[in-house]
Amino acid sequence: MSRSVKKGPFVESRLLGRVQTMNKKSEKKVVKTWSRASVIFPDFIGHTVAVYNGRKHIPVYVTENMVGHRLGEFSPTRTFRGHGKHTERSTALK
Amino acid sequence: MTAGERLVVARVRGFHGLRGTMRLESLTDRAEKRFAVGESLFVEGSDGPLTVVESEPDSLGWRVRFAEVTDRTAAEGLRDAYLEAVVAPGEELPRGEFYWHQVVGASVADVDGSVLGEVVDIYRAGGAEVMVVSGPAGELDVPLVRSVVRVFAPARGEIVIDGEALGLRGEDAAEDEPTAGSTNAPREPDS
Repeated sequence: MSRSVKKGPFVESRLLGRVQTMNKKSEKKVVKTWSRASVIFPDFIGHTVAVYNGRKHIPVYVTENMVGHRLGEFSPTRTFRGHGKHTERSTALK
Repeated sequence: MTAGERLVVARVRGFHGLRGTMRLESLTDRAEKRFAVGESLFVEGSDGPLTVVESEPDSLGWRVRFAEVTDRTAAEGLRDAYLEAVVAPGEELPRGEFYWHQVVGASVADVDGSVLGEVVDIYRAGGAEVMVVSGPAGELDVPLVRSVVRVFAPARGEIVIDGEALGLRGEDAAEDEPTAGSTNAPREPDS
C-alpha cells in the first residue's frame, strides 16, 4: 500500500532540520544519519550525508537526480572489495 | 596516464543467445565510446583485438558481440575475463581529474597537520567518489567533495582534508546515536 499523499514523503525531521540550518548559514558539513528510509529532498542537493550501513557511515554526496530516492539506496550494506585492476574510472572533486 | 596504455573497461559476466553475444559489466566511465561499433578491445594479457560489431546497454551493463567471437562456445571461453582498451592520444583526462588507481597510495593529512593515513581504496557512493583512508587510527571514509577536501593533488601524493567538515573534530565529532525509543533505534526482537 502506498503512503498517504497528505503526509508527504518521509524524512527524519532532525536530519531535514540540520540540512535546512546549514542552507541558511551557507555551510556544508558531513551530516551523520541512521535514517536510511529518509527520502532525499531538494534541500539536500550539494550536501554530503553519511548514511549508516549497519557497520559504518558511508558519505553520500547528493545530486539532483537522487531526489525522491531514499538515502539507504546509496549506502550498500554488503562488502564489495572491488576488482583490483586499473580501470578506466576517474574522479575529480565535486 | 599516457596515451597508448591499456585500462580495464569491462568484465565478461554472461552470454546471450548462440551467436557469441556477451553480457559485460562496465568498468568505465566512457562506456558509450568504448562499446561503440568498430571499437577494439583486448582480452587482458592478450594482444589480439576484439572488434565490436553490435552493442546495446542492458540491465547488467552492456550486451556486446565481437567479430572474432562467432559462437557461444567461443564466448564461454572468455567467462570472467577482463577486457581492456587502449588510451588513444587526445583521450587523456582533463586537468584536475584522475583515474582511481592514481589516487590510491596518496598520503592524507588534516588541515591541522596531523597525518591520517594513506588511500587504500576508492569507491562510488551517490554522486561522488569516496576514498578509504587507512592509518594509525583505523579506517576512515572521506568523500571527494570540495567542502571536505582542501588540497587534492594525487600526482604529488598529497591530499589535505578538513577534519572539522568531516566531523572528526569540533562540535559534531560526538554525534549522538539514535536512542532506544526513537524512530531509528534498532528494534528489539519480539519475545
